[in-house]
Amino acid sequence: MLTHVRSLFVALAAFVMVSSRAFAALPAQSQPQINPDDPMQVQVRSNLIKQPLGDQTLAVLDLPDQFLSRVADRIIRESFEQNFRIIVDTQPAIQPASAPGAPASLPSAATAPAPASPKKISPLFWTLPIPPGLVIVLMIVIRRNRRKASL
Amino acid sequence: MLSALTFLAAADIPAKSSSQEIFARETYPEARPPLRGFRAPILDHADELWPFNLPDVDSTPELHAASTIIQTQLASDGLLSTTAQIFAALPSKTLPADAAGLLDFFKRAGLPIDLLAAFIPSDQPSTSPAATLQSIQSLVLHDHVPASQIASRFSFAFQPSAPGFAIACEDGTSDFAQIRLQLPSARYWQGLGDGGAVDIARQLTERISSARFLIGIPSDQREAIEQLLAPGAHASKASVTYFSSSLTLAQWAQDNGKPGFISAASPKLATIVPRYASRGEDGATFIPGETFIADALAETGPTVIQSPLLFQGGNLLAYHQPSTGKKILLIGEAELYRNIALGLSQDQVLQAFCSEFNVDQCITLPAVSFHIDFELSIHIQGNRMLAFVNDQTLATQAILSCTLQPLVSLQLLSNESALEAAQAIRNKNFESALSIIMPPIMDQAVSPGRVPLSFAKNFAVGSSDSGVGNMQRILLAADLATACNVPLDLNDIDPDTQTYFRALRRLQSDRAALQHQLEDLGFVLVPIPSLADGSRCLNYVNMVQGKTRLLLPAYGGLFSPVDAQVRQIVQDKLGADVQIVQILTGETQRRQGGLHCAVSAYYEP
Repeated sequence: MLTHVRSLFVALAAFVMVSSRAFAALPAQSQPQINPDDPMQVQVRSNLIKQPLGDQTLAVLDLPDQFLSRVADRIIRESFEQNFRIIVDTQPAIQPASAPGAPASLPSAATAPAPASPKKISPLFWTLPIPPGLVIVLMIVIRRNRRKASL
Repeated sequence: MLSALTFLAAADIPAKSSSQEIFARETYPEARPPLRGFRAPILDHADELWPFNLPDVDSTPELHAASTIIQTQLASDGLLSTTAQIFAALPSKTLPADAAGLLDFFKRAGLPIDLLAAFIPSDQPSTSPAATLQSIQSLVLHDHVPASQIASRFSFAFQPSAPGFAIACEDGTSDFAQIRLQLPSARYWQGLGDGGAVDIARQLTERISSARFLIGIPSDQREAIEQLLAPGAHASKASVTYFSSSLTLAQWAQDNGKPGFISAASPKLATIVPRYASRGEDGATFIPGETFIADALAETGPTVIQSPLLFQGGNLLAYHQPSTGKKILLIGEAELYRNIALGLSQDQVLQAFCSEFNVDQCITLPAVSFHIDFELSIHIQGNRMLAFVNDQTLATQAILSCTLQPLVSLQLLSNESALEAAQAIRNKNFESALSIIMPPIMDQAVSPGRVPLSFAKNFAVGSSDSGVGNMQRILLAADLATACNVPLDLNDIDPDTQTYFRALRRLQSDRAALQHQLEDLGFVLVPIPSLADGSRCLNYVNMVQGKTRLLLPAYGGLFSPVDAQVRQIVQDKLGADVQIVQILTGETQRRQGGLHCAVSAYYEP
């Protein structure tokens, strides 16, 4: 249902080690209450401008950092949601006593096979930890207009 | 009265000879044009062949060199300086001597030569692309003016593509005259009421029957679509004109053209389309189907004009400022950068948009959402300037409230706990609310953040609702509440979730800044329980304004109570003189769009 994404740059390690020098090079953000040194956002921004344009890259467009940051954040949010906030097709987990409505047909692209990892609930009531060692695949999404996968 | 159904087949698309630069229409790729200057050959410019690809191996070294300079310098140095750098870099004897040949050389190298006409040499009253090119050449080669100083010898005066054209204001000051839609296919995604493209067309033709409808469709789906929307298939009394394309079409009629008028003794409806229809915000990805449909649209009646500027319609919103009588165009910042990439400065882009769309002022808004129509909708009433805007906290409250009943029905939550959670939601005590709501949901998780489909299905209400889509929205609301409303030390959670939560907090901060900007412009904000987050949005501000009728997105199913809440807010604010027409858009929202994205409204002059 939802996905029509292409991964241009994949397999960025989730736990990006960013040197203190890289931190120092970050531009100031416009949100004072937020830590501006977000290494993942810096990495995605960097990947964004490495996309090809002719025989150059998007870097030649001189897009402002603040704009790139907003685009990068959209990618970060979407990537996280597509990896860690998903509906998986598995065995029925519960037999409802009385369902509130008829089930919808399955939008297959929105589901994924259930992973084998055991259930693990965080003490932060629902902010769930990602299993150690898991690699986030951060996708640079070809944003087919915000409105993608329309067919 | 029966619908007046007519069908206008798109003129057969002429196949152009395939060479280094020119594609047959059917074979254009969907891609960022490697040559920055590419302009789609449509409408009155259909015979103007603009190369798409970089010079090939058989091209001259000079053409390659010029192309490289354009690619690397155009956005940063501008059109004039880049052109001057090419004249300075290449021996003049290697360049064509005649004006037409010279112009063609620069076109093949990737310069948007049509925009040169906006740069008038200081010693001349007007110009043409060829004349401007020759002036630059003369200044560089004879007067030895450095490339960095060339711009000072020209004034910028962008001439509108169609004198007299003015963009329609989408501010509730006029009523609908025509509505343009696009249908990618002839099927409902889930069924009647699913809020997909066909369902939106069905609802609109039923309920806005006084408007004429122009509906773009794929050529091979004609019969099926006609049957779906034909009189008898539903209660439509509307006049529908179909136009078609053999290329792939998306649902987003808003983005590939902007409605307006051509001023005359009797104003005529018109559409202005961009240099080429595009998607994406990091550069502009050319979409052949969305571009070439303009030729078929032109056959249906309204004048269609091609602009040399790049734009996506959802990122442009015009309104009348009642206190000054001025017409203002709000522009999402991506449109600015898209045209800076063509060699215009920021001021030149804004001047060009003012001239092309016939407005008094252009104001740029940050890209909080992909397009600005996901963040605001404007309604002018007398001297009141209302801006309907997303209120994330209200939306979070509304979504979490809708989560309670299914949990109670599933016997995962007691009535007492549900009442306690409802009270906490009302009090914006999200920490307490989430501690009640989320454990029973996450108890079902097969692994962190992964909810079983069999469980999610229980959150659908009705056959056209989506349990998957609803669960995604519930998870998003919980994430937003946790990230933005719960005092939480991010250092206590894993790095990936930290990154995500920080991105959510920045989004909230950007949205607050945008809303302050709107207040500074004189708008009274009307907070709506509405979210904009890609395919997981529950968005209501993506509405279509009319003077006596306002088309309001609805989601249906589990979130019907939110639909009703929003309707009440809007009705209370606008009063009984405005009829609120709710249009189900669930499947469209699950595809990262909304009602305004799908509807291009022409207004009564």
